Parts: sequence; structure tokens; C-alpha cells
Amino acid sequence: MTTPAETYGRLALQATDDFEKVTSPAALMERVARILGTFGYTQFIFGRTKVIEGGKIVPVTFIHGWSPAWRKHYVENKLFDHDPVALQAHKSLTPFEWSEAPYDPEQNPRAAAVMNVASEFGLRQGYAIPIATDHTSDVVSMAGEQVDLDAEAKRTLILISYYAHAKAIGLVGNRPISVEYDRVLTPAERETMSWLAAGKTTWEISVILHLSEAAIFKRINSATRKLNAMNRTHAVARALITKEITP
Amino acid sequence: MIHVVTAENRHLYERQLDDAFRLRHDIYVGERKWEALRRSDDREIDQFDTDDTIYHLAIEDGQVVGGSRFCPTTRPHLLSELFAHMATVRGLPTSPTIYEHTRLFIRKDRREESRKRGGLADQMRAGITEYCVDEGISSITLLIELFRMTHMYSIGWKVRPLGLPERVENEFWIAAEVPMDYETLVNVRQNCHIEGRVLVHEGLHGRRIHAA
Repeated sequence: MTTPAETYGRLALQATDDFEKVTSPAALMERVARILGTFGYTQFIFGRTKVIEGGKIVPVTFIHGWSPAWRKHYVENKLFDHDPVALQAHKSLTPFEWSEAPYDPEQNPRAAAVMNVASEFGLRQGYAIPIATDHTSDVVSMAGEQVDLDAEAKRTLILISYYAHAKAIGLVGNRPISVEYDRVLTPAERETMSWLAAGKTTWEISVILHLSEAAIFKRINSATRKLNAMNRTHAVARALITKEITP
Repeated sequence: MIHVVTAENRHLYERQLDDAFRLRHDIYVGERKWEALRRSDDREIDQFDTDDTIYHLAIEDGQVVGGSRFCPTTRPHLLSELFAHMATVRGLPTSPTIYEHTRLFIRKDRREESRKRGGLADQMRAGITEYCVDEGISSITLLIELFRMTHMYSIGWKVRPLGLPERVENEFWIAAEVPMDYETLVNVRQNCHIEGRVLVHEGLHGRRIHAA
């Protein structure tokens, strides 16, 4: 009988073998996104910080998968300066859940504000894995609406992140690069849209997935909204174009 | 230069080998506080330091400044006897052409500068790779802190995990396998800015250690 640990273990090792074969940053990010998606994470970043003159820490993102809306908000409002997750990642190499990044909401309301607004952008639960290289302080940070992490899942994510990070450096070196990987759909939405793209009706999908029609409608509506589509046909087209789903 | 020491030429390196065991004690017990390895004679020697063990000794001006060891996986070794649980996903590789590589150390006073490109740490890793290619060792197995993996990858070692990382004290460790071949050697030398051979085979007569 396979234990959860063995299942996770196989997933992790499969992922790391998979990364080995990748030859472009975009392909790597696609694979990372897919794996993180199975855990419930919809967005992630390979962040890097450096210390500039005067000792100030500044972000030098080297590969990001934040949604464009979140990224815009984060950069325009200089949220990095008050982001407790970014600070914790710089202080310690121990992986931590975003909820574990310490700050005092009374002493530091701006830190609290960062976490609150992240939540509004769908980044409700996150996990951060700091990784030090010879010259930089990096972090693989991921977030989603609803994630359930047990100890085995964490170990799997840690291993996958280290590998993806090592591979990313191999592919992009030390040049900061913005590879945009914008996944806005949840795995459930993606699954449903894939069936729609295959020509199934709402009722057929509900049978296939053992869910109520109402649940399927909900997923399709949510996906349509997120994809800024006019209707479900348009949504399928947009999902294909943006590679949320593949034919 | 890095000297290869086996049962065949051990007699030429008795003093340096003893220094290496003392340094291992200073570092693993003294610095890292791995109390389980402490011995009253201040030498860190365990049940895997046998006649089949091969040592690399980095020697400068007659002094040992670094070292490591290779243990055959066809005999009891660290991973098989004490840490097999860390390799349950892929299984522990054992074969006459696979060696476990452990106890890599660099003397404290040389550590800082050993880290630069082409420095002692790079030379030792190039030496490990060179040795494997010379001897036909197809891969080495390791037990390492996860954070070391990043650096190893950057020099050209394709570290393959054998299981999920395990938390020991404050660090995550993994059991891993690193394939060794000529292409890896070329990459390592290039990435580490090392030209040519780093190994010395004193008193060794080109004997392959595994049945070819």
C-alpha cells in the first residue's frame, strides 16, 4: 500500500526529473505552475533581494508568476518595503507559511495592510522557501486561495522549489528576467474548462466529475469572470490562448 | 594537490591520514557538535573507515587542509546502515560502480578563501569527479544538507534526490545520487575554472577498483 509520503515522494522526484529536461525559462515556469497548482497554489515568484549602498534591501525579482494585477499593485505601492514575508525570507533560511511571518499588527499596521491586500488579490494562504546562493538571497514564494499543507506536502514543495530554483539559475544565470506566468484559474476551474473545451455540456461535466450542475455552473462563471470573457465560449478561447488549459 | 589514498598506498600516508581523522573530529564534533561521533582519542573514525575506503587528502606544504572519503555501496555504508529511510522513494543504489561519498571537510582556517571560484572547495569537487571518471565510478551517493544542492548544481553536478528531505536539527537533509561521466568532468572544470588534473596517485599502480 502506498503511503502519502511515498505518493508525495514520487511526485517530487517525478517533478525534479521533469525539470532536468526543460530547456527554456517559460517551459520551466509552466511545469512549476502545474505542480504548484495541484497543491492549490495559483501564483508564485522566484524572488531575489540584494543589499544596496546604505544597507537597504531591494527586490530584484528574477522570475515571477504573480497575476499582473497583483504585481502592478505591489510595485506601484512599494509593498516590498513593508512585506513581512519578504523580511522573514531575508532573515532566516527556514521555510515558513505566510501566516508565520512575524509582525505586530499594532506596531506595524503597514505590514498588516500588505497581508490583507494580498488576501484580496487571491493570495490568502502562502508558503515561502528561502534559498541562499553564493551571492544572493533568494526565495521561492507561492500563494493561493485555499491550501491544505501537511508535513509531507511541505517537504515535497521544499524539494521541488530547490530544484526549480537551481534549474532556473542554470537557465537564466544571474540576469533578472521577467518571465510572466499568469495563472488565474484554480485547478478546479481549469479542469472544468478543459472539459468544456472538449465539447462537453454542463450536465455531462457534472456527471463526469460527480458534482452538481450548480457546482459546474459556479466554476464556469468564476472562470469566465477571471478570464475577462463575455461568455463561456469566449472563456474557452481565452483559456486556450493564455495556456490556462491545453487542447 | 589532492592525494588519492587506498589500502595499496596507505603506508605512505599514515601521518596525514591520522591528521585527517583528527581534523574530522575537530570539525564534526568540535564545530558541528555531532556528539554521536565523539571519541576519546580525538579522532573521528567510524565503522565505515575500512580497508575498502578510499580517501582524498588535500595536502599543502605537507599539511592536510581538506579531505573526503569514498565507501563502496556493495558493503555496509552510511546510507545503507543508518539512513536508508531517506532513500525509500527511489531506493538506495548499490553497485560495484557506485560509491558513497561522505565526510568532506576543509580545515577551518582555509574555509573562507576555499569558497572562491577555483579555490580548494572547487578543486576537491573536481578531484572527486576526476577520480570517478578515472576509475569508472558511474555515480556517487551523498547525504547532504539541501542548501548545498544549489551550489553543487551550479558547478555541474546533477544532484538527483533519492527521497524527500528530512529535518535534522535545524536543517533539511537529502540522500542523493550524482552521476559521474566525462561530460560532467568537463563541465565541472569549466565552471570551477580548473585546468587539468588535480589528483596525485602516489604509489598506486593504475588498478581499477571495480571489476571492469
